[in-house]
Amino acid sequence: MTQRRHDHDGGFDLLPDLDERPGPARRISSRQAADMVRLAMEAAKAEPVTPPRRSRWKLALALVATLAMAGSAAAAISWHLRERTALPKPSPAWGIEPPTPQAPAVPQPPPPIAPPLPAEVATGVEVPVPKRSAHVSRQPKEEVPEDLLAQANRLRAARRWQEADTVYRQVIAKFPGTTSAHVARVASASLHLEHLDDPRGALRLYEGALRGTPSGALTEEARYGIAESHRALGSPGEELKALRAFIEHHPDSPLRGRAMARLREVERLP
Amino acid sequence: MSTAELSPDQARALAAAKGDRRAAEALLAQLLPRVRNLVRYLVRGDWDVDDIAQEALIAIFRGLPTYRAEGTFKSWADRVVVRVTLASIRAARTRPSRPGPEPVELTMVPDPSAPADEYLTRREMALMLDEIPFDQRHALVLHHVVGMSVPEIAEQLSTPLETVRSRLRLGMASLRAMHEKTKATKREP
Repeated sequence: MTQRRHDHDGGFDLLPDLDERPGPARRISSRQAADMVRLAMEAAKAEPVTPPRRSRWKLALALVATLAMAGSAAAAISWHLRERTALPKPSPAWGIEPPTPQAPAVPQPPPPIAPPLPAEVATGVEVPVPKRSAHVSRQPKEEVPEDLLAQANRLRAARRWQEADTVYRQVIAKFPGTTSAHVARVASASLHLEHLDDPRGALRLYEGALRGTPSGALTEEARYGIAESHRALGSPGEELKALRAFIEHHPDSPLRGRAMARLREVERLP
Repeated sequence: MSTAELSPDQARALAAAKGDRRAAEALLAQLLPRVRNLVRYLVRGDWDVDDIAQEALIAIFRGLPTYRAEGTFKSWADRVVVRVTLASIRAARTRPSRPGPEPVELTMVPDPSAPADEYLTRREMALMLDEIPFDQRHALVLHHVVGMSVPEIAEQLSTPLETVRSRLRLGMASLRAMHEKTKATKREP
């Protein structure tokens, strides 16, 4: 039985009891909470019984679901929208551009293409997603983008950032124009910004993601990522424009408050 | 202990340990806010809370077969969260450090499920904890939030008893001083 109070405590009442009520952790949506629980259970079963590694759980959503990824991607990478610490300094730009979409050299079945998702996805409204076509499922050695994203996520969970990014680029190159490529592009951008010390590369990827998918899934993440990249690059003018664009396009975003606060800070800069 | 004597949490935990997926999911969903809150009490800033909370959920789920319904389930889960969080903090110390978090904007609409200012008060308390040294912070949280005794804390932190008591005293003094200062600032016109 634990003894909560010692005679030297003097009844310390500043710290509230621990419970399930909101605070001090930031609030999250019920969908994010449900996703966290689901991922924990799946990760607990999938991982070998060794000391667990830090995992960026939210991006794990991009690999756990199959075509449901199209619906969950917005929730998956919505983790991305969280308050950041100071960002890394600009470094030599990422020198390798993902190839522009082109016809695959080897004839293969067209990958399933999910329709652009409405903005409601970001608020947790379920969106029907196309079923995986029978033809995609299954030649023995056929590579599907979900498997590559799963592989990238395992690498990411193991903090092998560069290798994870290489796999994301494979998804972009091999499955151009697909939702998977879009998810991979945004995921790669976040890696470049947060772990590869390459905000210039991140910016290029975020802008590419937004050009390819100007509305719908992950555009909130892409626009916010653009603002963050400009911040890391030390470009307050561009950051200001990007923040204004984010606020204008995503007035209901949970990060609107943070974006407004940062906007005011940047506006005050000399 | 017979099944009839078990609390709902304990019964659900034991069912989950036997492979009842629905019980496990319901248990983790119920625990998640508490887990996140405890992690936030222990770490500085919001940056890593959800990653660590995710690891803690995994550890709780995988540790369910070891839960023996001795003591409340929440106490057992709290201790798992503490172990995972402190391990994570130790591991983070070996990596290049990141600068501290940005100031949090607390001008938010109150959560409808909480009293009008409780959420903001709790957030403010976390910010105050962010200002005191980790060793004092952890002693305070483990004792006054988790309810661990001084000997338990000494064992958890591999620290002598008197050191824990000293950290508690210093931590309480620091927190009280900050709280008074915050109150005084708010009273100023």
